[in-house]
Amino acid sequence: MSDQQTEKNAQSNEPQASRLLVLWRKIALIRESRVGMLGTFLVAFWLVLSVIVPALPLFDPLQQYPCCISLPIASHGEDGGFFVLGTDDRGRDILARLVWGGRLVLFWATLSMLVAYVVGGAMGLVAGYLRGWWDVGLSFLANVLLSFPVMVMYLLVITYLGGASGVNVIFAVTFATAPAIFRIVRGLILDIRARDYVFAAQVRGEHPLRIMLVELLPNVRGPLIVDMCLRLGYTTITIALLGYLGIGLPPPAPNWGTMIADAQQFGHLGVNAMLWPALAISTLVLGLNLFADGLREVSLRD
Amino acid sequence: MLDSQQPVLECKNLCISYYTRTGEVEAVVDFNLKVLSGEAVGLVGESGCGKSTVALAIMQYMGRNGAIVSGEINFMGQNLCGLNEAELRRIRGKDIAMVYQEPMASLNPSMKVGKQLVEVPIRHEGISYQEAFQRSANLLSEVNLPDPESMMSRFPHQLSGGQQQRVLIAMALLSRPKLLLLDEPTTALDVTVEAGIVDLIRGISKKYGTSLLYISHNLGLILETCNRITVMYSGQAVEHGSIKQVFDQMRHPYTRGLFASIPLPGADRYEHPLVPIRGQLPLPQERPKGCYFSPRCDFFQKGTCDKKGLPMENVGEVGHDDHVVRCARHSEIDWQKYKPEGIKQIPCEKGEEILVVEDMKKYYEVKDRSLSALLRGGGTKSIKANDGISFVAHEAETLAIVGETGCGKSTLAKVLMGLECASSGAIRIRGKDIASLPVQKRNPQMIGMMQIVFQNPFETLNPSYSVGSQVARVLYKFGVTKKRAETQSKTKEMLDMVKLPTAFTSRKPRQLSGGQKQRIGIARAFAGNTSVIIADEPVSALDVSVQASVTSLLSELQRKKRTTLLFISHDLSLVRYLADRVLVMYLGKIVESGTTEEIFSPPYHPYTEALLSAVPIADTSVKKKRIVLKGELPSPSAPPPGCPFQTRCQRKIGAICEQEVPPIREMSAQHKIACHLSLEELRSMEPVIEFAKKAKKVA
Repeated sequence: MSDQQTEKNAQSNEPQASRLLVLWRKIALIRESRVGMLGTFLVAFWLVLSVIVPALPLFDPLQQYPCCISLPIASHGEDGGFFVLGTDDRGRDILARLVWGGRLVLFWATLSMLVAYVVGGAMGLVAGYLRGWWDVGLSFLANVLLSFPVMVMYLLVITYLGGASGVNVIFAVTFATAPAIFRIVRGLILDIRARDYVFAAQVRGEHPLRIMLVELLPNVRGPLIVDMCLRLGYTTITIALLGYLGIGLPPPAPNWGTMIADAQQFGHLGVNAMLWPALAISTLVLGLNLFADGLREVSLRD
Repeated sequence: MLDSQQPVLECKNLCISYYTRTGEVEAVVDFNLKVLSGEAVGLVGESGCGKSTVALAIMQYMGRNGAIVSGEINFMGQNLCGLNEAELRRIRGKDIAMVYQEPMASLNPSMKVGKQLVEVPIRHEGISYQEAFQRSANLLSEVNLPDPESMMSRFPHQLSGGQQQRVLIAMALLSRPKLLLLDEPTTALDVTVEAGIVDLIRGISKKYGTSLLYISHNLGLILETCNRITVMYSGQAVEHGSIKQVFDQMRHPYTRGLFASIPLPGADRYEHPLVPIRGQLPLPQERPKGCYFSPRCDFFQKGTCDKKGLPMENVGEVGHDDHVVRCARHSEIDWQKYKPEGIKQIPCEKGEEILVVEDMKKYYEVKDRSLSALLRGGGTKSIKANDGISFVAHEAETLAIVGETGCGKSTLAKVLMGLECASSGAIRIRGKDIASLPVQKRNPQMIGMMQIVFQNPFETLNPSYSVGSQVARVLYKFGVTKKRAETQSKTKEMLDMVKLPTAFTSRKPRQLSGGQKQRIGIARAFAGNTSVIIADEPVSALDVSVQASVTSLLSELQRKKRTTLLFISHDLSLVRYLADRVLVMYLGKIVESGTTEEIFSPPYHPYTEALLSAVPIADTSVKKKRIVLKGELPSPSAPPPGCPFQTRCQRKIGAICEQEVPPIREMSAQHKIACHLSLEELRSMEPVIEFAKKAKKVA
């Protein structure tokens, strides 16, 4: 049939690109958004720093120099060391603590965000696809959790689980954000659960679990990726906040929240030590928000 | 045409482009159109041909990335392209009004209908609220809405789709516009509702002197509403003339192709096969040089058709420019000799009984959980989606199920597929009762025996996976193939079967056109050892030229594999072309059943009669009886007592229709009609569709 002929011609005009290339092209689209590019730059800055920090010629972030307490920016220590951003109240190098702290914060923020996503996402999938009592029960649970003041929730969860530790931070973040993720995923699934391809999977007798994970989940990935970027930003703030309250990642390992809390006790002497972690938090979170905005903007354009 | 008469609307050499990431897309190229006072002009073409872009350009709603590149749009002698926003606002809604396709999306859901109506004259003419209210109420009754004042105090969601569209037409007419643009105003509606709206539209230009520009993909509707027609293809007007000229003496090969690819309800399917237009509409970036239709045209000639800038040439009488066509070879083509070969259908002997449905009922229980219901006690309503359905389908037979929204045909499909269990009755497939066997409890062979082709090509395939993997999954799931290599080769075989290149296996659904996706859907349905295929409006979302080839493919495969096809549709022309037998459903009940011949000729059930008269037919030689149903479809939760159709029936006898369930009159061994009319009355019915005897000549 000649019908077939024209279709074959159309095929040859369009060579099949490899999957990696397709993915790269999609990511590269963010160049079209200015705020997106700024976000990409800020996020990449912190990401690259935290990956290469072991190879950087920095002080040991835990090493205290009793001779050099609360030095201002660009000070020379007595033994000839040069503290680019100065030192904190115990004579530790702020730059080293900042960069190592970033690594720690990014690691735990990503991990807790992912755990929260697995929990909230699974709940959302089940409630959105199976509906019925599953939906009633899970939605009720989510509403109960959402009605708690967040701060009280953090305190409760972490003290109940036995104090500050990385794992407990994950629990706290999950309790606080999984309900919100649940709502997003449930809403997205409700929207596509009545599409014909889902119906097609049902009539060929697929297991509900397969329908949820294979047929539904990949089709909501777009908005979820944007939400993940935003939520990573919020989680960073949460982790800093927990550190500040003293119930986050345990000292003496450096993290931005603890750095601010430590410096705060020393009034104007601590301003320098407080300024840098605060700046770090806001640049990273701003970067993630802008990146998410850029992604959304680019994906909406035709 | 007299020069002294100033056209209401004139588009001169209009070129419109959209600017996208990939560059400039020329949506409309060199478009000319004149609409005279009191005249209705139809604009017809397939999706993506630029007809809606023209309408938006007239309203000057081009969006951020669209622009009129060159040419002018003159409205009453004034060029709209030069006007600023304030001047445009004065014209929009007052002198030019528009009615859109989706009535629900065009009304503000949070405002009462009346408030939205009175806004128009108050805004444009500054009249008082009382006067505006009075005028709105008058107009609502003129568009045949009952009880206008209560209508005005309702919210849009409290109206049916047909009522909403009537409100929108009334709203458009409120400021007595000189030009009314109608963009597919009935596409979202059922045929019997559509017939009412079309009746209304036809009267507008006569009654109010308003000029109409009617945009549609349906040639039959244009025939019923318009005086002149412009056919568009890929951004260009290819033919323009009066209805008679274009319908009877079409001169462009594309127009010809369009007419050949739509089934006519009078035509015999074995004598007049459908002729699909091969290939598909080119993307604006990939248009060929010269004639845009050339790659799909049977008359393509190198050197003639690929010259740039083909003009519109006059083919009518000398000195008149009222029938023009954009074809380089229009004078050379001998239409009389041209008989393209369609897809021949061979009659097919039906075999044994495959699917038997006996008195199947599907009731949905709806609990009223409100406080008042609790106090009253009880409060469980049942919605009778299927109420006593019985039929038999044989091997290699096509059984059409016809009915409008809410008649229960989708519920029937769901029950058959095992997504819902029947409330009572029996469904036997090859002797096995599956009425209360949900799909989870059926074994793969049984599931594979009955499969479905879906309506919406954009939803039928999972956008995340390649086409091949989705077909392969079905093969694997139904145990057709076991090994990987075997599955792969079988997948390619399946694609070949639906006439797609095997290289498509690695493509994602979004890289396929609607027709191609629907072919994959068909391949998927035939992948198991299927005995019964349910096709739920499989081509209603496709363009007409593609519809023909997909329909033909479906029926060809069905015959070759001797599969039973349950063809669910509201398109009676298509049913006539495809089906061996027809069931007509209304409110969960079968009101008429019989062979296709019997259904399409009298005696009819009154509902079938109304359905038939509502089908728009693109043939000037056809004479139709017009029956416009009154009232709205009753809710299936509170069906009327007695005959389900009594509330809207045009042949209602009297109290008996309201009190007693109609008896089933056996007109022949196959033909059954559930109606109170006596046998004599039924027999004395006249045919709805009549062909003028050999009036059609190919000039």
